Amino acid sequence: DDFVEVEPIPITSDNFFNTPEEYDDALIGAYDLLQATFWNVLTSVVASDDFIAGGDASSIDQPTLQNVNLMDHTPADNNQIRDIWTLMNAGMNRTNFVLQNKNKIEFDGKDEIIAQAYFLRAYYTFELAKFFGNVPLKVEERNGVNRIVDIPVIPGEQFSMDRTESVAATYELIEEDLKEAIPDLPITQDLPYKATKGAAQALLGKVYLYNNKFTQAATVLNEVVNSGQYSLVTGEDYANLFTTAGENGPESVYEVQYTNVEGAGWGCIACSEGNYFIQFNGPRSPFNDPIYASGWGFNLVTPQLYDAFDDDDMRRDLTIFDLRDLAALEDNSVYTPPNEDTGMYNHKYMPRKADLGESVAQLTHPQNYRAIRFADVLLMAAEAEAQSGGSNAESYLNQVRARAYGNNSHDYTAAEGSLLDAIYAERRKELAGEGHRFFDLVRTDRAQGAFDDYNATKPTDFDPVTYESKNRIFPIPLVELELAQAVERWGNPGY
Amino acid sequence: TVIEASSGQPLPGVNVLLKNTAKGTSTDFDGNFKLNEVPINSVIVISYIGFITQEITIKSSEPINVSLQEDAESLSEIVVIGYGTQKKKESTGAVSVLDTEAIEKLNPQRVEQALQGQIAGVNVTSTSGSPGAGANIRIRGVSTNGDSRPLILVDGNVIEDLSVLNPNDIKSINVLKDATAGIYGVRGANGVVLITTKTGRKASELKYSVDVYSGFQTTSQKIDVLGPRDYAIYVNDALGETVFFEYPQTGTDWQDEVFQTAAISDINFSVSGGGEKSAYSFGVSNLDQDGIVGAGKSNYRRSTARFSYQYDILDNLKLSSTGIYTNSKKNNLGENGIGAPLYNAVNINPNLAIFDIDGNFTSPTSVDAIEIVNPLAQIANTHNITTIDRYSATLGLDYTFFEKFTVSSKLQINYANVLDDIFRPVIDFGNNFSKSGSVRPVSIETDDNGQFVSSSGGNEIVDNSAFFTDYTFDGYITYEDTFNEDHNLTVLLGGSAFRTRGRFYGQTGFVLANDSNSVDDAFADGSVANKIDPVTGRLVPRFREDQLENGADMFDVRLQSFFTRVQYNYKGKYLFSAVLRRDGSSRFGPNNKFGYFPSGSIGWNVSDEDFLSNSNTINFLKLRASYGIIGNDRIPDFRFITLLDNEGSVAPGNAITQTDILLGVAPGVPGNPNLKWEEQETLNVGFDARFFDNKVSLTVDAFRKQTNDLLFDPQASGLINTSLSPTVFPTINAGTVVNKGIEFSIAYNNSFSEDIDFNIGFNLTTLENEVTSVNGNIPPTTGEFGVGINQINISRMVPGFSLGHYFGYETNGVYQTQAEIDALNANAADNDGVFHTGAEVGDLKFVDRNGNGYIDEDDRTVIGEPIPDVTMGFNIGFRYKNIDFSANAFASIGNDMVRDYERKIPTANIGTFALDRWQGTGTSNSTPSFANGSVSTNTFSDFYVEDASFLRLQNVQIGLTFGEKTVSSLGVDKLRIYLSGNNLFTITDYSGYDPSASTGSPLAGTIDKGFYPVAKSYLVGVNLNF
Repeated sequence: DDFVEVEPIPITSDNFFNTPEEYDDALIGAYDLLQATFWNVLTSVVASDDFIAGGDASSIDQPTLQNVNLMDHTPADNNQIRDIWTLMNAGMNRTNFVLQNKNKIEFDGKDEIIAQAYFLRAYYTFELAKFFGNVPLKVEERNGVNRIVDIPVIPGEQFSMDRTESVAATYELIEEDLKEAIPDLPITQDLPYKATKGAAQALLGKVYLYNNKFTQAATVLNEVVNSGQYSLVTGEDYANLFTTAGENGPESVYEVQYTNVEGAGWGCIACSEGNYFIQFNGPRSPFNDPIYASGWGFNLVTPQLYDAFDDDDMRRDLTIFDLRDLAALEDNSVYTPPNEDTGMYNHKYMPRKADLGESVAQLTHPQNYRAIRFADVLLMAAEAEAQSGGSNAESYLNQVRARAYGNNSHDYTAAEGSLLDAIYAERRKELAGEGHRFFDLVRTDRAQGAFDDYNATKPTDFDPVTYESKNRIFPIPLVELELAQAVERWGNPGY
Repeated sequence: TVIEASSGQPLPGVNVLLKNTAKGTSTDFDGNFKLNEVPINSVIVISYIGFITQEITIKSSEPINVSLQEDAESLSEIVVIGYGTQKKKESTGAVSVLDTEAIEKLNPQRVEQALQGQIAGVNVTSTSGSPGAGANIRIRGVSTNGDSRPLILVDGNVIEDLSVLNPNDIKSINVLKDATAGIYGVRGANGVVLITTKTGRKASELKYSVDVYSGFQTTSQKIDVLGPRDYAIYVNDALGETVFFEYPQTGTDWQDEVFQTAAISDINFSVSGGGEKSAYSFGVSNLDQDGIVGAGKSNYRRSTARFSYQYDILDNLKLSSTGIYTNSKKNNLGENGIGAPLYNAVNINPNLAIFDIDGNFTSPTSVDAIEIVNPLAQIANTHNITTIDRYSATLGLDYTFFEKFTVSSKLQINYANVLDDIFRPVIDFGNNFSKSGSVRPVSIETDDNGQFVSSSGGNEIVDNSAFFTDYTFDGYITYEDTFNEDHNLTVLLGGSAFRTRGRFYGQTGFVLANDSNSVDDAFADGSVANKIDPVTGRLVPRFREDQLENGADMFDVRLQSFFTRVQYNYKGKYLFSAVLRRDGSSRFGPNNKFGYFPSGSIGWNVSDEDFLSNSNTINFLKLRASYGIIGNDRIPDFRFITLLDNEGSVAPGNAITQTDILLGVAPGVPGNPNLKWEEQETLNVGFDARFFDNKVSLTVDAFRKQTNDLLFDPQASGLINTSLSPTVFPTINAGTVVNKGIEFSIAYNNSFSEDIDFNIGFNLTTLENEVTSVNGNIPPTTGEFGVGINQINISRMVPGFSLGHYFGYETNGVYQTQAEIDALNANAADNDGVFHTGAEVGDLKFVDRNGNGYIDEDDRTVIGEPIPDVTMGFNIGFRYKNIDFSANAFASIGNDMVRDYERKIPTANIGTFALDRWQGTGTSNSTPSFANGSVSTNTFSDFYVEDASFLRLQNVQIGLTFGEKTVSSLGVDKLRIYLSGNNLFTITDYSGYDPSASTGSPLAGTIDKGFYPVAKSYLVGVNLNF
């Protein structure tokens, strides 16, 4: 009978974490899912009021994205929405695989590895919470507070897991992970992909904002501002803020790293080490430009966003790639108009010819996703201060404006209206096309108003957006509800 | 002189007896015999095992020539039953046999083609009509969700890929269909196909035979799509704008361009003979077949060599050995998928010319449908070759002692090396597509010293190599005895060990040296690895070091079994057999590693009873019944435990070369420690009968096969996911499936005179498939419809329905007027006054099955079943003097297919059914308008499910055998020339290429994305024996 006892190839999960290197290797496996967040960014940009889905005008190109764009999506929509669900859960499980084994051996540096794992779990949980609200999680009480269980979901458990009781409770679980991570994370790291203390603090500040804990948000965000580690870049560096040349610079608090040196295939898009979000932003073929490459023609800037910028706001050209002159030629040999064409594209993340790399080049764009920029931290800090009665809000806002205009001539004045509204307006302009807008609108209860404004001012031949309160969160895809036998248990409020 | 009728060769050792006397002799080596003192008008009886006995009245002293006919009935009298043989009369199982003659008549290129329509209960579907492509063999329906392939043994050797076998080398094919396959325990659940190869005959002279055929093939089917003018009108209508200002009258019939008349030729040479104690046979063959798509670009060439040798070392010690070597080379083109040449040929703009004015391939522009490229450019630039070298050998020893005991030990070994060579040049196919889908400008950056720094874009060469080895060792002892003359007992006791291993190496290189983009440079030395310059002996870098990737992987699967079989009969009349097998498999975890599989069968030869023994009508009648449990272990390895085999890598933020990427580990598919054997309970009741001087034979079986704990990898909740590509899911014991059916075969064989033989046969199988339970109430689903239009999981496994049925909306005509839609909306208060979201006039109307007033996901229902209700085979043959004729046909009734080879966007071409599209109130109530953006037209509904029942004439053959007198003077025993036609016509209502095609997957296997049609072929051939 021993003949049929075969040692599994390769190693099994039960026989791992015997050396520090094996902890490193498992942590790398957990980091990998950050690269899969290009779906999250793409979906949230399409969801916002400042961008139109676009895509091939002669077919229903990416139906889920089209539906998200018009807020017509239902639980029957899969594609990107389901990808976000399954991939972020994969990130959770891989991170929990590390945490499950955190006490197996002791060695110098282990605390930092575990701290990075808690940062990652917070990142993935936060992505799930932004999209799906109070997601199902395994929760236990540890040291007097509720924590996510440090064990991956075991097959079978999906049939009994419940949603967390509220979105606020989910955010609290994330906060606890970050609070545990921060003390053990270093201020700087040897390689850019690793989480730093500043990254964890900035993420914690963001989670507090989402959870309306403005005082705590102000405290932790001020620590990032005052750490001396980060600054707003200007001049040549500002022009390169979103190009490969400007990656991991002084303004970068946390970036998801991508590269074009390894090939990728359509069979497993998320396996790519590149950034597929970039491909969506390029104008459709044929589009011939010495610098920029063609793409799928998604994420078209609305005229309303264009109009939000002053002429002397440097962010307008940094954010918007304007092809309206080319579109006006109506010449199919040089320009293919996408669906609901505005002629304007997301310049921050346009594909560039110099960046094209290993096959399939559409999948291996190397531009990093700037997950948390210092400008974002300043505006979050300003918002937290403004909400909690702090004194730095105006100064933080003006720092961001001064960089945008190159001088202080546009500093905030009371004549503009409330400081909080000014900060909100600044976030829209500063962070346009980066995937924050939709969630900012939802968390500040301004989504309904924003989409109503869009419908009132949109070009007449464009479809209206049918935003309702249920669209605050995305529905868990029906197929996922069925696979967990959770159609009743988890439901999808309003859908 | 006595000769064999079929070969014209002399028969030695034939018994010649003067009737009603003891006087007799036997023929010598040259078939001659001599009987002295035979009175005129006496009768001599000439008999030989395996041949029909002849009686001849002696009228004179002239030499007589006797031509003995092979007795098909007695040849198949022996059936192979696994670890032994048995007289057919005494067998108790549902076993079907296909002999040499039947196989030769079909002239198949592959063994599977010989099975279709010949044996009741065996269904063969093609995965593709391309040369060298495999086929799926299903015995008595689809009873498992995973791997439904039967166990295939060639001379006892497991050979899963039948492409390596030359059909001419086969002596017989035995198919075990019921629980008597239980002797193969865990591997027999899907039935067992036992193939024996040809051997020589002892004490026979050296014989040669040459079989040659050659011919051509054409496509059996074209899809009717719109011509240039109709297409232009259709596009303008669908887009609602004038894209085409002029309606062209001429354009390109892309299918005519893609389909070619392709050559095929095959040559076989074999030698056989035997000495007093030995028998040997040797054969070589070469098949060369072009494809009907792309001709040489899908060429398949197969060369085989085989030998068989038996030697009686002692009277009671016998050695047998066989060896097969196969070398094949297959040129691959994309098939049955989005972007495959046929898919492009159907969908591409018919106004586009093939070449531009400079003679270069045209590229579709943005006016044409996206992601559809010039299929001829695609074929010309595909360089994808698979080369297989395979060696199979068996060695067996049988030792008999005390007369009643035989010890057998057999060793079977297979070794295969599979090489893939792929070159993807940089080609602009237009529409942003090149190579594997990307346009990549080649740019290589060097530093000031000219040293390579980085590159982007460029061509790609892939070089994969896989090595497979397996061995099986069987050892068993057989005890055979007869007590009191009436009690016959055979007991078998044995064990078997099986091990299979694989190693893979893969290399991918980018950017050929010297910026070459030529396939000749790419395949110059057949490998990606850097090559040695033959002149200088120095290494010539074909690729830069950092551009080479390496990969390796392996598996090791083992099976260990013990088995016993007891067979008993009383006077050959009452038959009994029982089998027990214990299997241990490395595929299962400690909790369920071993399984026991019992089965039993009984039989009654009714015709041996006194009341029938003298019947003139019923010559033979046997009743049979069998019941047993057989297992199935066909799942991926180590699914009982979680492996760290997932991709887990990050870009660290400073990667300049690929080696800078950090590789980590991640848990793979979650292990299921409780995974256990899938088990099949099979009940079979049947009878065999022969009537009217054995001229009519009839076999009827009724069976019920219940598969418990079905092994499957259904989709699983994202909550347990650990992968970047969540398409691999934990293997579970998913549920229960029942297959029930009746098999019926009848044949009539008669020799009306020496000049006329006639035979006709018919077989029929009914099949009823039902999923009776699903573990955990999560119906496994899979299958995608269309391209990126959000239609997934259209094929399901749900209790109460057949396995893999299609699930979608039922249509009910076309919305004719806005008033009609408004009226429906008025009753849809529960859905904000919208009956059918997005629907407009001219769109397909869906049925509100749940009656809630509007169309939603719950209105979907069963709209088709892929499994045929009935399959039938017909064959007919006759011989008049030296002219022979045979034909056979196959029919399948009640199988549905999903028509999914259309791109479903307005600028893609479409079938001619679109001519009848809705074009205004009262026009069509069945075909929608196909207006751009129509929601219901792009949703999976019964509009896309078609009845794919068919009747196909599989083979027609006419042969002419030149009589002895003509050819014997040339030293030839037999010469036959023939004309043969395969797949000459198919009658079906299905609009796609091939109603018989399937990917072989139980779920979603018949979603048709453009199956490569079977070829219609016309062959002329020669059989020569000397």
